[in-house]
Parts: sequence; structure tokens; C-alpha cells
Amino acid sequence: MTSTNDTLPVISDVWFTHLANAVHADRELQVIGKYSDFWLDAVSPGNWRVVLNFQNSSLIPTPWKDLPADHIAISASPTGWGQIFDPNPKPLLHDLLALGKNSPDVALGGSDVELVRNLRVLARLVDLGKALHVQH
Amino acid sequence: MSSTDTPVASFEDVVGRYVNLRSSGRDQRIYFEEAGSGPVLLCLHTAGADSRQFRHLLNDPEITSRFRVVAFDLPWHGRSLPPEGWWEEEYLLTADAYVAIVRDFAAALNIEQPTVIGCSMAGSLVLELARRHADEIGAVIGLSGALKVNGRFQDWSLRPDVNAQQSVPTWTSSLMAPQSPEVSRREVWWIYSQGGPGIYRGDTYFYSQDLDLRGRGHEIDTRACPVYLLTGEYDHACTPADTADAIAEIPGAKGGAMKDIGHFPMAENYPLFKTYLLPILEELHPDVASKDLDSLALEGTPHA
Repeated sequence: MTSTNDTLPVISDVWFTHLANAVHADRELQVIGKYSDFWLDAVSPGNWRVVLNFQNSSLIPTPWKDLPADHIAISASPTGWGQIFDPNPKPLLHDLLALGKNSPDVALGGSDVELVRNLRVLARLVDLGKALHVQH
Repeated sequence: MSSTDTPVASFEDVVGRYVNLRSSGRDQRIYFEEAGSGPVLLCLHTAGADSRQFRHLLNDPEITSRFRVVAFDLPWHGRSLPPEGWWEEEYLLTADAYVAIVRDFAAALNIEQPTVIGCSMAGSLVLELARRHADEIGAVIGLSGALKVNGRFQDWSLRPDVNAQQSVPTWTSSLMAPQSPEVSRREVWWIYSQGGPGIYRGDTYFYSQDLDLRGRGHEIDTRACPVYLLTGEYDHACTPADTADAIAEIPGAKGGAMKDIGHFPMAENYPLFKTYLLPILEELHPDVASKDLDSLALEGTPHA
């Protein structure tokens, strides 16, 4: 895992370590993620970039250079990342797909097919992130 | 014979049956469930789902003591099989076929002047029903419906490298309010996971492509067929603004946004939805609205 900024209140190296641990401990992801293998490029433009590989129910830190062409990209400002992991979201800003449509601070990119193909696991990851937001 | 020492079971009052009928020139075997007695509430499920979405309404004695609740599975959905030859055709629901099957089903059951409750694509369909056949319909209640809903018709669910059984239900789960009970949200997901290949997509062909009532709202006579439209504030497919536009364009239409709920109100949070539904039913049917509930049987019948 590589991050250029670990000082943001929501997203940091430490935060992603907690998320990886939460994935490992999550009974649902251990079931539904067993056969999943996808890549996620998470960016806060001008601040930081994190590349993750979800594989066999684990969230694996990965160097940027290993990012394949087919991947899911989420680009958001600090405000947008706060919206993504907001445990008490406002209507129409309550979900990754909703934010992609309605928030100027969140952009979904990369492969649309990869997004829908792995949407079930991705949605669970966001839910775990929201729970972490409450804890940390 | 029982696997436990203290067997306890209860039967719901909901009864399921099949009716064979002909619609749009094809033989159809339609599954439906019903409960209660009184004026008919004819319930139409969402795209890619089935009548199980109305199980809470069907099991609510406060409703079934006053109304006969009837919910059926569209052809290709739930326990209603697709018509013969389905394997050679691309399923695309049209407004004509949708209106026809609702009318033909009602006729087969001798249902007259029902209050038609439809959600999502059916929330828009009820507007077309009211526009075309106001004389046959007692009233319509559209949930998550509008004159035009964009963006739901997409091809990815038919790709062989996409597991639509998981992706379609997660895609639609996005439309629910996060504070709706988890068990209910998961149930909505589960029902969607059981849709046939291409059926959600084919339904959204009607919802987002075939039906466009913009500029035609004035053709709906709400004096002949009252129109109510309700949409959850978390619904980002058919937004409350989309529904507000419809209400503004249809003279006499009523309704608005529902707080703290999403695209599947009767399924994702029935107790909350009921608080919006009851006043409408009482306005439509004041004669049965004040019926005393004290004498009602509890949900289900105990059976040892």
C-alpha cells in the first residue's frame, strides 16, 4: 500500500490498515469475496493515491506500478471521501453509485464492467469503511 | 412427526394460486397471492422482482380487514413462467404489453375498479393505466414513479462475464435508505438475486425507454381516476424531484416525498411506508377506513 498523505482524517495508511483488518474479520466478506479478484485505484487529487487489490477475501496493499488496465477508480476530494464513508449520509449521497451521480466531489472511473462485476464486494467494503469512520 | 420437542408453526392468511389466461396473443400462467376482503388493492412489483415484495402488506390485518390485497407475478417473474418460445426472444417489456397483462389479469379475477399500487416501473405504469383506462381503475398509487425515468436501461447484466445474480441486486440495493431495517434490505436483495437473465434489463426498457409521458400529464383525468405519487427521498433512480415534476404536470395529482425511505418502500420499510399509505386509503375509501380493529385475528393462525 502506498499513500502520499497519511494526515487526512478519513483516509490514511493507518485507516487502510484498519480497513484491511476489518475485511479479514468480516464474516460476510469472507463468504462473498472468496472468488473475487479486482483492483481499486483510490485517489484524492493533489493529496494522495492508494492502490489496493482485493483477492480471496483479503485487501492487499499494492504498488501503483502493478495496477492493471482493468480496474475500478474512485477519485474524490477530501469532502468526497468524507461523503463516501459518512455513516449518516444525506439522501441521494448515501451510496457510492448515488455519489457518482450526484456529488461533484466524487467521480467513479476505470472500467464500468469491473465496477458492476465486483459491486457486491465493493459495497460491503464501503459499509466496513463507514463503520471504521465511526470507530476512528 | 416433528424434528423438535416443541413444534410451533403458524400459517399466514395469504393464499397463492395460479390463473391461466391469454394476454398480448400468448398463453400465460400467472401466479398471484391474495389476502383479505373488501375493495381491491392490486399490487404490482418492481422491475426484475416479484410479488413477494408485498408480503408485509398482504400480512397486515389493519389492511386486510378492510381491503382485498392481490399481488401477481408478471410473466417471466417469480413463479409466473415465461411464455412458450421465450428462449428465442429478447425480453423487452413494452407499455402496451404491460397495460394489457394488468387488465387481463384483473379481468380474469373479475376485479373491478381496483386501487392499483405499483412500485418503480409499476409506479410509472400506473400513470399510463390511468391515462388509457381511467374508467376501469378506481385509483392509482405510484411509488417511485414518474413521467420519465432515465438511465436504468443498461446492457451489462447480460454480459457472460458479469454475475447478474449478484450485481443486479447490489445495483438496485443502492436505491434504498441506509436506515431501513437491514433484514428488509437484504430481503429485497435476495428477491432480485432470483430474477431470470435479462429480465431486470427488459423491464427497465419499459421504465426508461418505452414510456415517456412528459407533456401528456394533462391527458390523465384524476377526477375519474385519482392519482397519488410517493417517492422515497433516498431514491436516486426516480428522484423525489422527478415525481414532483409528474405531480405538477398531472392536474389533481397528489403526493410527494417520503422521508427516510428509498426506492422499495413497501418492502424495505413497511411500517414506515404504511404511515404514508393509510391516509391515502382512508381518503379513497372512507367507508371502510374506520373499521374497528379490535376484533381482528392476529397475523397467522397458530398451528400445533
